[in-house]
This record gives sequence, C-alpha cells and structure tokens, in this order.
Amino acid sequence: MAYQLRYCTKCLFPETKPDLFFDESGVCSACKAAELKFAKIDWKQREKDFRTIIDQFKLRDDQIGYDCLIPVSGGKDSTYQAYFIKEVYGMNPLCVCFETTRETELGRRNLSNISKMGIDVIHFHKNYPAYRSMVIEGFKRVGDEMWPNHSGIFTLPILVAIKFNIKLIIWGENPQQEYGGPWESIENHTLTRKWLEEFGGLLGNRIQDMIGVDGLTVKELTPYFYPTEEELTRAGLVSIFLGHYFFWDARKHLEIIEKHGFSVKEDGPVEGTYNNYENLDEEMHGLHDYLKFVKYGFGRATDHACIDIRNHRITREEGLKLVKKFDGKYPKLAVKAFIEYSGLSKEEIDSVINSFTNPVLFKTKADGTFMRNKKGDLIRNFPIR
Amino acid sequence: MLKCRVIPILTFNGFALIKTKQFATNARMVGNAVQAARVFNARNVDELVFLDVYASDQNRKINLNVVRSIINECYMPVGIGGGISSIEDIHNLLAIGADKVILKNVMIKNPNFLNKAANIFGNQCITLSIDAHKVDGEYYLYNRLGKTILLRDFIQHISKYNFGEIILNSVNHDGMMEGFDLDLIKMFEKNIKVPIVVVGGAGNPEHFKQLFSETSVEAAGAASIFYFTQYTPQDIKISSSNSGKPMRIVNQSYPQVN
Amino acid sequence: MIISIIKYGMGNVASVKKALDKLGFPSVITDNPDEIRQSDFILLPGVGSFAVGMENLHLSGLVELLTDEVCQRKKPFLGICLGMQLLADYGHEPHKIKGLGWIRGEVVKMQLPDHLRIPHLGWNNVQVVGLDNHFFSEFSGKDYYFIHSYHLKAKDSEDVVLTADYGIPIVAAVRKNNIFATQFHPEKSQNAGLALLNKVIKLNAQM
Repeated sequence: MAYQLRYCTKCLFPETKPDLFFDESGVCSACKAAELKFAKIDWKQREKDFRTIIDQFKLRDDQIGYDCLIPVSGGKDSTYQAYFIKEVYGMNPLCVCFETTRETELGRRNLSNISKMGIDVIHFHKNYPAYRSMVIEGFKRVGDEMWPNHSGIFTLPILVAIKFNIKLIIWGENPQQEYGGPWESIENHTLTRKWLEEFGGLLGNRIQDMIGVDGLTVKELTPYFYPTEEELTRAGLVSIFLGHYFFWDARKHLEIIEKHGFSVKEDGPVEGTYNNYENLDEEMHGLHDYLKFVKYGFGRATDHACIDIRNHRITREEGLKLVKKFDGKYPKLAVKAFIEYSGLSKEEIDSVINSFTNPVLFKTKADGTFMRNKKGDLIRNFPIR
Repeated sequence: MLKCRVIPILTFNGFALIKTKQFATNARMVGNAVQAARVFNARNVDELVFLDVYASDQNRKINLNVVRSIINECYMPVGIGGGISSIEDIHNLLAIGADKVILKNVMIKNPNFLNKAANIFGNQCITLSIDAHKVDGEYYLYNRLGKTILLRDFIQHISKYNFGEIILNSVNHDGMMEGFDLDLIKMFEKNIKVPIVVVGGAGNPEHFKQLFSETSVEAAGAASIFYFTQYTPQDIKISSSNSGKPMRIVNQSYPQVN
Repeated sequence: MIISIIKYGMGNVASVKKALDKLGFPSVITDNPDEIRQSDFILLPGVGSFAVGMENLHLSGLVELLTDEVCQRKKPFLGICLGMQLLADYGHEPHKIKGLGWIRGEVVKMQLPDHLRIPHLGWNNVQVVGLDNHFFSEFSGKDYYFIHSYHLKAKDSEDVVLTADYGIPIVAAVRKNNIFATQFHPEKSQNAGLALLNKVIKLNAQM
C-alpha cells in the first residue's frame, strides 16, 4: 500500500479531489480561499467594483435590450442571482436555461418561478436523441452521465449572448473559490473558454470527441461548440462571477429566495447528501455524485459538510459524522431513473461504475472485485480522519 | 511512410493522476486514470504512457491492478514506468500486456541492467526516461538520487547500452504550456540513434508543428494540453498534417470553422 | 471454434487474447500439445530476439508439433511480429540460427539510410502487393503499429502480401496457403488492426 491518504485538517476534502492543493500545514486551498472570504477581502471595495462594471452595461429604462445575461438552472444559486440582479440592482436580465437531462417537477416549478419574478427566461429544450447519445457515451467513457450538460450550460449562454448582443454575463459562485483550485483560479473573476476547458467538468473529453458517436454530426452538436475567438472578440463579451464581488453564502441566499417563490424538497434530503435544497432540478444527479465518490473517495455530502464547516455552521467533527452517515451511498433512485432513460440494464450500469471505482481507495477481494458492506456500500481503504 | 506520433503522458502518484509544473512537488490532482485511458483510446491516440512518478521515491512497486485496468482500456501500445528495477518487474508488466517498460533510476544506478533486460525481452520494449534540467545555461540529468550529471556526458555514456527508445523530458518546460524545448532537442538529436519522444511544454497545436518541422524528432508526448485546453490529439494531428507532416489520422469529420 | 495462442515465454499473449476477446473469438493461452491439436486455429505472437524465441520453442517441444499441425495438417495459422520472423529459414539475432523454415527467407538487421532511427517504431501504412491479393485490398493504405529492428527478407515474392516503406521496403505481411503472418501488431493497431484480425480469422476458419 502507498502512503496514507491525506485529508484537509480544517475541512474533510481528501487529496484525491482534482485541482485541490494543500499548504504545509495540511490546509486545503478551498479553506484558504474561505479564510480570504471571511477576513481579508474588502467586500465594500468589491461591491464598488461590481457597480463600476454594471454601470458600463446597464441600459436606460427607455431603451430596448437586456442589461445582462444570467445562466440559470432553476436551482437555488441561479435563482438567487436572478433575484439579486433584478430586485437589488434593478437590472433587466435575460435568463438562459440549458434544459437539464431529466427535469424534476420541483425543478420545473422553480424555473417558471424565475419568470414570475419579472424576468424573461429562455428555456432551451435540446435535441433529445443527440443529447441522450452523449449522456450514455459520457457515462461509459468518462464516468459522467452529466457530461453533455456541463458542455451545454457553459456554451449555450455564450451563444445566446452573442445573438442577443448582450455583453455582460453574470455567473454565480466561482467553483474554484468555493471548492478549491489552483491559486490563480481562486482569484479569477472571469469565465473564459480556457476556464471551461480547465474547470468545466469536461473530464478530459471534448465536444469534438462526440462527433460520430451514434452517427452524431457536427451540425447536430451545434449548441455545444464554443464560438470562435473572432466571434468572441467581436462580441466584446464580459463574463464575471458574482461570487467574486459578493460574499457567497448559499444558505442565506436560500432564505431570501424562499420568500420569493422558491421551493425546497419537502420529503427529506436529496439522494447522496443530507440537505434538501441542492440539485433539486435534476433527477439523475445522484448518479453523477456517486461516480465522483467511487473515483475520488468523496461525494456530495462531503462537499456540503465542507461548505458548512467553512461557513462556521458546523465543526469538523460534526461534519465527519454527517459524511459517515450520508456520503457515498448507492444512488438507487438515480440508477432507476437512468435505467429508464438509457435503456441500459442495471448490470451494465454497475459494470461501468465498477470500472471507474478506484481500487486503491476501496477494498477489493482477492479476485479484484470490490467488497461491500451489508447495505451494499463500498468499504474505504483509508477512513476519513 | 512512418507517421509522427502524438502520445498522452499520464503521471500517477499512487492514487490518481497528477500534473506537475516544472516537476515541483506540489502537483495538481487531475483525476481518474482509467477514465483518462478510456478517453484516449476512444480518441485513437497513437500510444499511451503511464508513469508512477513517486514509486521509486516511496520505495514501492507500481500497482499492477491499476496498470492492468488501464491496459485493458487500450488497443494501442502502452508504455509503463515507475520503480522498475528488476527482471521480475519487467516480466510482470509485460505479462499483463504492457508493450514497453520505461526505466529511469535503474539506468543511472546500474546501466548494465539495460543490456540484461534487452537480451531477455528484446530491446524494443526497453525505453529510457531522460529528464533534462537546464541550470545556468547548462543541461543536467534531473534525478532525485542526489547526483549531479551533465546531460551531454550521460547521453554519450548511455548510448553504448542496448535499448529501443528515449523519452526526453524538459523539466523547465514541464506543465508550462509555452512550447517544447527545441534547443535541448537540437543539441542532442544527433547523438541519439533510437526513436525519441519529446515531452514538456506543449500548449497548442502550433508547438507540435514547430517541433516536427524544426527537428528530426517524430514523436511528442503531452499532458497539460489535454487536461486544460480545448485541444484534442486529433486537433494537433490535423494541424501538423496540414503543414505537411505524415500523421496518422483516423477518419472523423470536423467542423469547417476553426 | 477455438484459437490457441501459443505460450512460449515471449510476452505479448495478454494483448492478443484481449483483442480476440473483443472480437468474440474464444481463445486459450497454452503450450499444451493436446489443447493445441484440438484447437481450430493457431496464433503465434511474440516480441524479443529470434534466438531466444527458437530456443524457447525447442525447449517447450513445440517445433515439431507446430510444423506438423500447420504444414502437414494445414491448420489455419497467424503469426505476429516475432511470430512471423520465426517462420523464416534463418534468423541472425544475435547470431545465425535456424528458424521454422515455413517461409523461405532470412531475418536480418535492417540496413537503413543514415537519417532513419532504429528500431522501426510507430505507425506506418501498408501496401498490397501481388496481383492476386484483392483479399487484402481493404487494408491498403491503413496504418499499423510496427516495432522491430530486424526484418524478413523473403525469397519468394509470392509469399509477400503487404509491404511498408521505411527507407527500404519492409515485408509487412506474408501469406502462404493456410499461413498468414504480420510483422506489425494488429492487436495494437486499434480498429484497423482489429478489422484485419477479424477478417483473417474468419477467412481461415472457413478453410
């Protein structure tokens, strides 16, 4: 066996998490970014900076047009962004939603709630068979059935912005800031094409690789091709992270938008974690999260516990208890939905999941298959400390 | 006509894939090895190299289960390196389907081993990993054995031994994505008779075009470009092919724009 | 139908089996005479030196068995890389040594123009030669993976069906009745290689 698997001393992230860095005292880059967030960043100045930016783009009320574009999913973060830009900053945003794979009833309701807040929303219904081919290929090839979604949600808003001549795109949190990444990326306030390729969750696969899958042509993959450098320069697009300018606190945002029509899950936590307000819009998210768990040894419950730790809501010990209870459970509901969606059998699906399971992180039997406890869960080789 | 090769290099830390910058110790975790192998196989890459870069430092052998699961994804040649120092090590790797073994520390400590291995397994499956570190204008053989070795002395010395290929890696250009170290290559390409795979510094297809047209090298390895940019191996090969270099391009239609 | 992949200590068997598994051909890695005799198709892979290859075949008692099965009983046969070179009358790696003698010719070190590196390592395209060889036309122009420093100089040009160019003409594949062999590695040549394996095995399985 190799050396011991390191965990952050402040939160519960393991070193196997992609793009995470540790300092000499074993603190991860996400925690360091949180320290900055709480103590060092001059949020008043950042707010001023934000005003300066939007003043460049904000139209008058007697003009035709949109002040900015906000990519939305119907989830709490993007709903908050929409509310914030509309109500607090008095702007007229165009919201663009790249339809998720299998929308939940709750997701549908929350998305239509955005238009009720007084905002135009484009809900893009993608070419179902083309997308479905990429879902299945993404699942088999990179262990992520949400692959085409990552590509779509970052590309479509850019395409729409260019078509509608909207120059400012406002994204939400900077994932590198909230979840840890290379230091330059934490301080980054813009989302460029390079950002998408590096941090967009494409797992080494690119849209060009999907050409020919089930006979897919370039034309059928149109909404997934990023605009050229020339188009981008001509359009003069500015893409910013709201989380760079305003202290990001997901729970606080939730409280606010619940007063504006946003609904959470009433009947218990979402699959794979302990809270009931994340990933409400996608029925199969549990599978994506479980794949992350088998590859890297940590799941969505860990993500959420770490955020709560960093926001001083729970201690590391409390977080550890939550993770032990909720993390890495086999996603029965998501798999059931995926069987219906894809037509693959449970055996085929489990076989693919097993092929992505890290044999160094999880206990294997002599024949190489993975050991499971009575509940059917994998057994860690390196317990979280 | 022999084609120029574009080879993804996967560096492994014992758990998962990492990516370094100039071989620094604070490496970046980039993900799952099986996933990477599967993607590259689906992309019809020419070859794959998988290196467990801390095996020797940590005094352990490469994990054969991991290697086996990677080789199972690949229907193209795979080279494996990391802590290989005995005939048994090589035998174990070839038995699970590796095509080449990549040697580093043992070539410094005990070069006679190269001849011994070549006699048993054939020299075409013995590849040497030579890391070049430029310090104050002079190239040294990078190593973590505490030895100071001038690269030109080393290349003269090692050329007398029996092996099939060299992977020539630039420590200074590693992970920087600003281009290959062409000076390094031009300095040594004439002293090396076997095929050379140049690694270190690729950031866009232009770099490969430059490499193939300005040097006699016909194979290049890369990693950062595939993790962090929009470019695929196919993009690189089409670009080099358009500039007249013989590349292996497996049929796929591409968008006309770009 | 079952293919016997000959095990004689010269590596490479795992990759060949993997390719055959992918194509759906049942196979067994063996040096057992009964299993070889009972199989419908013999595959001789191999990487390494000619001398060690022949020595190992002799030590395993396989030379007579294979010659009988392939040359007398005309069992379909595929040789890959060293498995092609060993079919020659003689090899010279590292010294002159007798081969199986099924294909007339000798295996010698490649004499290449100065600027070319040795071994011949990488993807190279093949050409069909011989008027009769339309069976192989679909492989013409495709790239396959080569890795060798020695090459076969065939005495009978009718035996040669595919060639490659590496400064000098290289014999890429030979065919003589039920014997087919490639210098390159079809099991390492992705789709092009798998397609060739598929066709050769299917064709010979009918013989």
